[in-house]
Amino acid sequence: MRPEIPLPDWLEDRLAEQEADPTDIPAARAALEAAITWQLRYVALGLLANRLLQAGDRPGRTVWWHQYQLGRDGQCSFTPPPEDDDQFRAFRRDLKRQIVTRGLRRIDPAEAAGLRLRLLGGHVSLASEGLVNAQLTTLGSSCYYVAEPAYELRAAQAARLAGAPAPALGKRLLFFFGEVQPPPRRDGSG
Amino acid sequence: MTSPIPTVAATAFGLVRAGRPAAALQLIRDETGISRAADLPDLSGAAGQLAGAWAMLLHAAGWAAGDLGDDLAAWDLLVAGYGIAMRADLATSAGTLAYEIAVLDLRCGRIDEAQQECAIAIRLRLQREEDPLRPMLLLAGALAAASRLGEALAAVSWAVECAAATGDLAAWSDALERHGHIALAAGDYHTAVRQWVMALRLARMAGLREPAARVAGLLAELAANPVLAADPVLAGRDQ
Repeated sequence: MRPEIPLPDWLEDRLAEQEADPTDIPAARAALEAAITWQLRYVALGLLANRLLQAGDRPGRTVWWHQYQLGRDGQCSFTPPPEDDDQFRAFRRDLKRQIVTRGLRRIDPAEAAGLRLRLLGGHVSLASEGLVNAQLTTLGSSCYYVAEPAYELRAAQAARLAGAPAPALGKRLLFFFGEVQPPPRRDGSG
Repeated sequence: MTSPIPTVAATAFGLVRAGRPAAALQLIRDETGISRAADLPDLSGAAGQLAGAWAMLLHAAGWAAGDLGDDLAAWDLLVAGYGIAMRADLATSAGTLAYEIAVLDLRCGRIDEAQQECAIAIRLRLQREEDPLRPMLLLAGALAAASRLGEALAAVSWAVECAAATGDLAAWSDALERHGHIALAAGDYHTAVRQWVMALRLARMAGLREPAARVAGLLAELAANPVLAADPVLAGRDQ
């Protein structure tokens, strides 16, 4: 499998446009956030597809619910409602159809850490949360990326660079991406 | 009887840190009779705290000798300290000494040896579940010195990533500065500009005057290059 996560042409063009003229900071920030969101969604759905195609470890209703909410605007709720609505059912049906027709590629968790995210100016490993956040911060984004287990992933890469055997990853890759906000002020004024 | 070595080691280390290498060597000579690695007693059985103290003492002695320009004596002392630390399973001390030996090797132009020592220092840090930031930066420098620029860029990118992830502004700025140098060696002027502009901003944010002045000087040199005259990032470096 190619390590680069494939981007749709319109998104690749948007990034290339910002790379050609790096003076428009809000546009560059918007393009970067859109590209990261798209790619992480691609990986999340690929991981879900992998679970669906396995004999055991089938995703439960809550997992489906979280995936469904990632593609929707507005406030998210952690717990699914008691009844499935038509849109939720349609999402599950459509995703299964995409998996069967190979429109959605399965991603094994073991290979996910080796995938490469397209940022402005090139690619970085999916595990490189520092580089992703550095670029987001530089562009004034309020989004933040967390990859876990971050230390183990960094250590595996460092071991490879130093010619040492890479330590086995004991945990599965987890990642979060979204807007963060500063904690409320203690005096209650902010 | 309690060994005087831990006290001497700590005092000598403090003296070198305070920029008094000659006083550190004098203290070690007066208290232990050691001025070079050949003067060392048989330490093959040293273990635990005593081995750690000897490793620290030899680290201080090697560092002081290096500061005074005696690289050969420095190397012997550091290697002796490294041997003691390794035999006593003191991974932290051994890793630090391996790093110091690599610094010396690189300074003396022994690039292959520096790479090997860096790799050892990195492995030992990883063994202790510590981020090997400094040895990785040094490895990047050693690889760049050997014209292995692709590998040097991978190593320095790792260091940038690590410093950014851990939020260490000083290390982040330092890593970006080095990334800029390696990019420049690879002929990638625009990446050098971007890394140095970011390094300058971080150094200013962290209140690091010396690195900020140094990077500002590098950018001023680049600004004089007609190829980069129209680079918008370079033009906006002081914003």
